Amino acid sequence: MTEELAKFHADDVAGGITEIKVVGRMDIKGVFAIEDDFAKVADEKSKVLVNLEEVSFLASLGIRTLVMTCKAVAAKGGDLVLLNPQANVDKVLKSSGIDQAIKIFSTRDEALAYLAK
Amino acid sequence: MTKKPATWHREFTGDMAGLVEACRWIEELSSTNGLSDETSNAIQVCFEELASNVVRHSGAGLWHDPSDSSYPTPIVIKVDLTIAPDVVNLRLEDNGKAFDVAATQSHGVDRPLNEMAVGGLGLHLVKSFAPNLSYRRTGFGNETSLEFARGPMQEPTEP
Repeated sequence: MTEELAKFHADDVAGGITEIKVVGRMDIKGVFAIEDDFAKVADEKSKVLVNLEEVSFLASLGIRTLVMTCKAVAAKGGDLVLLNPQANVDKVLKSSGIDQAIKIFSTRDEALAYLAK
Repeated sequence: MTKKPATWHREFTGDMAGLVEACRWIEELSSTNGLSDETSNAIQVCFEELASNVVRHSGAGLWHDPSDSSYPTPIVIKVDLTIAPDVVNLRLEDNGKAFDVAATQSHGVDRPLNEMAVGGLGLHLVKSFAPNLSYRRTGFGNETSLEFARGPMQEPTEP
C-alpha cells in the first residue's frame, strides 16, 4: 500500500558521472519531496544516471521532473539517461514517448559506458 | 464472478491536500480490489493527471489557503470508481472552469529534447491508457469519464 515519500540519493561515481537513485513513488507527493534535489543536480552536473529500479510508480509530474532535469543537463552539453525502470514505470515512459528522447538502459554497466563516452 | 459492479464515491477539496488524499484513496482502491497491476497503475496514472489538472487549472490554485476569504469559489472534486466484472469506470466531476479533456490536443514526444514542451504529455498519457475517454459539461461543472479494461481478476470487495 502507500509507501513513504520518495527518497532521493545522488552520488558521484566514476568518470564524472552522478548517479541519482530514487526509492518510492514518483507520484504528486513524492515528486514535490524530491524535485528540488533534481534541480540541484541539473544545475551542478553534466553526466547523470537516474536509477529507477526502486521507483514503483511514475505519473506525469514525475515525467515532467525527469524531462526538465534532462533538458537542463543537455543545455550544458551534458547527458542524462535512465536505468532499469520497473514494468509499470517502463510502460508510462514508453506510452508518453519519453523513451524517444531519453535513453533507457537495462544494465548499469551499459548506462555508465554510454555516459563515459 | 459477481454480476454486480461495486462503486465507491468520495468528494475532495480542490487543493493540494485534497489532491494528495484523493490520489491515496484511488491508490488504495485500485490496488486492493482484485485489479491487475497494469490496470491499477493505469487508473492511478490517469487519476493523478486529471485531478492535478483540476487543481492547477480550474482556478483553485495548487497551494490555495482555504482560510483565504478572498478565494472565490471552493473547488470540489467528486470521484466515482466502479469496478465491474469486465471494466473499470472512473468518473471525476469538478466545479472549476470548463475544460474538455477529450477535445484538448495532446502529444507524445514528437520533437527533439531541446524543443520539447512538457505540457500535453500528461493528457497524451491519459489517452494512451484510457482510450474510452468522454467529457460533458454538467450543471455542476466538468465531468470526465474513463473506462479501463479490467482483465482476469478476482471479485471486487463490497464498498
